[in-house]
Amino acid sequence: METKGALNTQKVWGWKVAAYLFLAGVGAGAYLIGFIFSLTHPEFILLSKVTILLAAPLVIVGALFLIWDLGQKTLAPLVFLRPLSSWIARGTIIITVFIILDLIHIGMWIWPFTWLEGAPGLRLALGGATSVFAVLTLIYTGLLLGTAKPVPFWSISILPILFLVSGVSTGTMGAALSLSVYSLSTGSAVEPPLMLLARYDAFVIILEALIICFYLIRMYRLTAARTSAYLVTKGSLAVHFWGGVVIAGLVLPFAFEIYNTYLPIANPMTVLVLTAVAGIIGLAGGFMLRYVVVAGGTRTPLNVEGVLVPPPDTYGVRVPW
Amino acid sequence: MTRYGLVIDLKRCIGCDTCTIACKAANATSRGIMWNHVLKYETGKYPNSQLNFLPITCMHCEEPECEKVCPTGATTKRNDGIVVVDSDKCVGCRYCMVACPYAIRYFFDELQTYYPGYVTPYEEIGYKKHKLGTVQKCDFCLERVEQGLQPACVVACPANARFFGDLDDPDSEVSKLIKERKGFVLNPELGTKPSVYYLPRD
Repeated sequence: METKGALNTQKVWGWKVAAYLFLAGVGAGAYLIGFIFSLTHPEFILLSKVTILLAAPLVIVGALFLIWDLGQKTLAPLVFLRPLSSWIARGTIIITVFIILDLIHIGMWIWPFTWLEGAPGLRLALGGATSVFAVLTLIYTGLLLGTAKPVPFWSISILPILFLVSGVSTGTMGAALSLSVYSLSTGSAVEPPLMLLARYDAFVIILEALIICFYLIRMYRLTAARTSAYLVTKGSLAVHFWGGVVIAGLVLPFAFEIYNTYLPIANPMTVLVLTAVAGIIGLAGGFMLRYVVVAGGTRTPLNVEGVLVPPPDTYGVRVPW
Repeated sequence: MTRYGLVIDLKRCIGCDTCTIACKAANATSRGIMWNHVLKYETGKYPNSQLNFLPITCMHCEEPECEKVCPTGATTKRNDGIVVVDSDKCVGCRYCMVACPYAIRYFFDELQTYYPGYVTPYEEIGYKKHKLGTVQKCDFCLERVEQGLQPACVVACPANARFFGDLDDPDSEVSKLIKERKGFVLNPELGTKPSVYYLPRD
């Protein structure tokens, strides 16, 4: 069926929501990889500490973007009220628990609670519980968009997986960036954990690229979402997608990580600078992925007995005099 | 139980937007906000093309997506089927606007008056009903309905194309019209079960 007129992208949610999705992804992703590496490589204590320090503050800053986006900012605490049916309420509870658990973890380094750090069982249990909430934080953001039935670009089960993988990748980049900046400013040797992160992230980036390909192919095949897929790959969001998501978010960080990992480099300073640059560019790409997904959502047309009519596009209309 | 609904006869609608203006007059909505308005679209190909009108408003769905996604409980469905927004509970997250398949909810983020730099006495009184930073929409003219009156758009329609009544009463005018004229709803595939029915042109 042909739609009688052009389908516009939704404008109700914009860059502030994308910023939240991005920052929550980086924070939760960083925690997750930090916890995994604390189990596999317990000698990288600095890496573990950096990820724990990044997690809660990033999610808190992300949540501030969401509060900034609210029409009634002072009523923000009310969003906890209906977890049985609303993903915003469920998500708020998830990120609150995640923030609290991470802050407890940070608190264990502060006197008089430092003795808790010496209890490995407790640390493991706390890390495990926080990781569960990190995964929930990453996945729920996809479900939050997915419950908006009229936007077919969001209503796909792969979106939570894409946000999970992208969150892990951007979290890894965030951790690598923080470590390299720390090393550049203090002179500490951080190359071994950086190499580990780069090797691991290169694999995650390949996985993310495959998921993005699959996502867009699915969207092209789905009539209702084809407009969105077109806008993202060839239309008004093409620059954001190819320049931001593909080149900045995937290709360049991948190239830098491969260069750092597999090519012999004499100067450790080069490793640090390349890691920092790859981190900054890659994080910008991670934000752009969220922005493209949010801004690329077009609404299902109104179905008037088989005739498809574009829904009204009246958000934020300012009528000229 | 009563379930209020609206029937719009597309055969009679002349696209004059009187319903739009009557709604604005009754509810004193800001400029740029139209709880009810008429979409225009073309069908067929020249020289056999036709201009069509589709008045749309909140569908007061039996299974409202907006109510499900609202994190605060600001949007609720009353026992009489009217979906309402409590502006004192609305945080302005706009999840309901994203989730509404009919895109007929409005975010009141800035008061736009009808005369530059001047608020008429009518606007001054009317705008008190609306709270900045919240989402708003048609409530079937709740104040009028509670007084036993019809919604303003129904009363004002010059072509007599709008009918308001109880969908649960098989003898009501709306129920009969839907049955006799094979009334349909928009996007039935979404399962929202709207309470606004349309009567076909043909």
